Amino acid sequence: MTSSRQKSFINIGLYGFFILVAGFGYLQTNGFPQPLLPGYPGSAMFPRLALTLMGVFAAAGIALELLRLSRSAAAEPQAPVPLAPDEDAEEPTSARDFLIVLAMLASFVAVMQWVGMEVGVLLFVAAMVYFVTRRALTSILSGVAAVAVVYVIFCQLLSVFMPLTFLPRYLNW
Amino acid sequence: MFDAFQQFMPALFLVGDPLNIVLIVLGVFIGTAFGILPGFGGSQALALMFPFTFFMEPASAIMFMLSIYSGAEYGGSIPAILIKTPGTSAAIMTLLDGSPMARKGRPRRALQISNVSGVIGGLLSSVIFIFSASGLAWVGLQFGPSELFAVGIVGLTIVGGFVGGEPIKAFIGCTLGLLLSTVGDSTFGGTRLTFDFPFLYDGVPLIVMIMAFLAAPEGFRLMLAALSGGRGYGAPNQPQGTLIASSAEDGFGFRDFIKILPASIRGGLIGTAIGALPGPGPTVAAVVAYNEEKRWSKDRDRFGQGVDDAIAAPESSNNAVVAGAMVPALALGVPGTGAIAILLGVLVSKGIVPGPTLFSEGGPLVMSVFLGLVACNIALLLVGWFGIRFFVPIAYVPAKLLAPFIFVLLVVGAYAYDNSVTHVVMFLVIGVFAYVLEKIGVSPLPVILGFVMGPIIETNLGRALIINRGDIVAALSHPIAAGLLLLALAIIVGSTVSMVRKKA
Repeated sequence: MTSSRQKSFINIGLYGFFILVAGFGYLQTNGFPQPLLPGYPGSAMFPRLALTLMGVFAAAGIALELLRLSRSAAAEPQAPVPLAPDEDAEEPTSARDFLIVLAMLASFVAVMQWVGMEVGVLLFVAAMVYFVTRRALTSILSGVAAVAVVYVIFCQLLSVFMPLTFLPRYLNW
Repeated sequence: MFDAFQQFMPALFLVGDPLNIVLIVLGVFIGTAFGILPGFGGSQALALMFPFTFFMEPASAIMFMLSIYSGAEYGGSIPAILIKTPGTSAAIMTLLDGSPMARKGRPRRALQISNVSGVIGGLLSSVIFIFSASGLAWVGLQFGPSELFAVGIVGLTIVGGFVGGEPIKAFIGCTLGLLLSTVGDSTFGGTRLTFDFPFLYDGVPLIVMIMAFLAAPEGFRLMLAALSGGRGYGAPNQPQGTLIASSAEDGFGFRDFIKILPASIRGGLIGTAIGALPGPGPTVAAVVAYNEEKRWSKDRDRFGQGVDDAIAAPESSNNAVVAGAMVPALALGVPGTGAIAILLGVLVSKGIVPGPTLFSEGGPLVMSVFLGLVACNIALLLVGWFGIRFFVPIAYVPAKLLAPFIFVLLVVGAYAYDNSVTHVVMFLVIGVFAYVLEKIGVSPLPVILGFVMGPIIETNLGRALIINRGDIVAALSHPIAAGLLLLALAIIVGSTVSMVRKKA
């Protein structure tokens, strides 16, 4: 399968997803409160307008992709299925790396509430920097610098009520 | 009626407030520092700094953000000249002649031309706006709810049609933004699309949307780049000292200023005009200004070897885009770039509705925006002139290492919205969704624009329907409204047909 055909199928999947969103959303709008007076716009009117437009654009997108596929099928001879992976395809490592990044971020957000901002930020930044540089000292210094920046700017200067474990909430300047 | 001269003095006092002056200088510093970092442009800097505006008055917030944007546009040229790595995409044209000039032993001259011409472009476009504001206010007075609804729709279709990539995806992005803007309590009664989650009753906060759609994808890209190719990523490839060594000819005097003035003015005019068009942004402005300068120059054969005018024109042009882009943004609510969409978001978060009536009802705020831009440019001149040595080391910080810091700032920024982890989770979920959407070709700009414009469009449609007793045909058949809606339809059809022809 050529990469342009692959792209077309991905696009059809995307447009199909938006048609589903539009359909599901439209069903949801049936439960919205009715207009107060005749001629008065109800709360369902605008979401329905947006959902209808979304559905129409997505359907048009599918039609255009199908047109493109039929044209390319007519124009190109059938290529043999490549045994080697497509060069344009996403590197398998990037999906794994994305999940690693996501897991680290999720862990950071989850633990920040329990262990405090300073520990959460220190661990997250140090771990991420260590992952990239493999240098322990650089990682720890980066983590400490990040904690200092967040603490001084957000907790002290802007008085954001961050969860803190060790550092004092107020400093006498 | 908006009288530019009547609003001048109150706006001047607003801009001259010591706190605002400090914010402008600070914003220029922060923006320049962000602009220097490769991969970070005005949009990302503004998205990161958005949470700080919660603590500011509307005029202060908008001036702070404008100064960050102006600083970022200038900052991008510093690494372009010194280490041949443009900090922002608009600085690519500056690189063509700035880098050769630096390598010939005149880095200070290249940086000062970039600084001075950028300031000329910024001042020129601000002054042009100040003199055209009264006319825009008159236009604003002709607009009722039907026309304002139609203007909103035209704005969405213009950005959708010209944002680049596939227009159908951009239009879907607009509708997605409109839909997300309806989540939560409705002014027409009840709650919408909350799925009984209490944290959705107040809707999706604008700050969460902006950070998730404009900053998170860049953060993910930086992190993934660091993880996949950047293990052991260290110092940049070139030693710091050798590139900023100056020769005896390095310098920039008053005669040089007079020499670059015409090119800077031409670049400024091009930037103002292109900035007023939704879509192209500073990069296109810089490219057009460079090409026009080359076309008309007597030295066109020397372009690419370090010609003064070849640095001055694109730099002036990309800085002039800032004020130029504010005109359709404030007058019609149509932001041409992601950065301007965030600036509109700042206004909306402060309860100020962008659109034609802002000029007639906004008091000195509109004038203060443009006088603020003048002040930004003066600050940019001083910061750029005296602070170059201070900024140069930033160009050598590996950008990929900054990704964790960026995410920490984003997470803490989302947390600071209401001291709750709920919005942090919301930011992460939407951020991942935005990253995936961007990977498959849905630009974040139309989504953000739809989200910002959604409540304005809905309110005006509602008002138009109430005035016309629910008759939608009567509501939308006013001459200006009908004309604008036909224009929107033409843009949708035209851009789709053009895409089909291109791909055929």
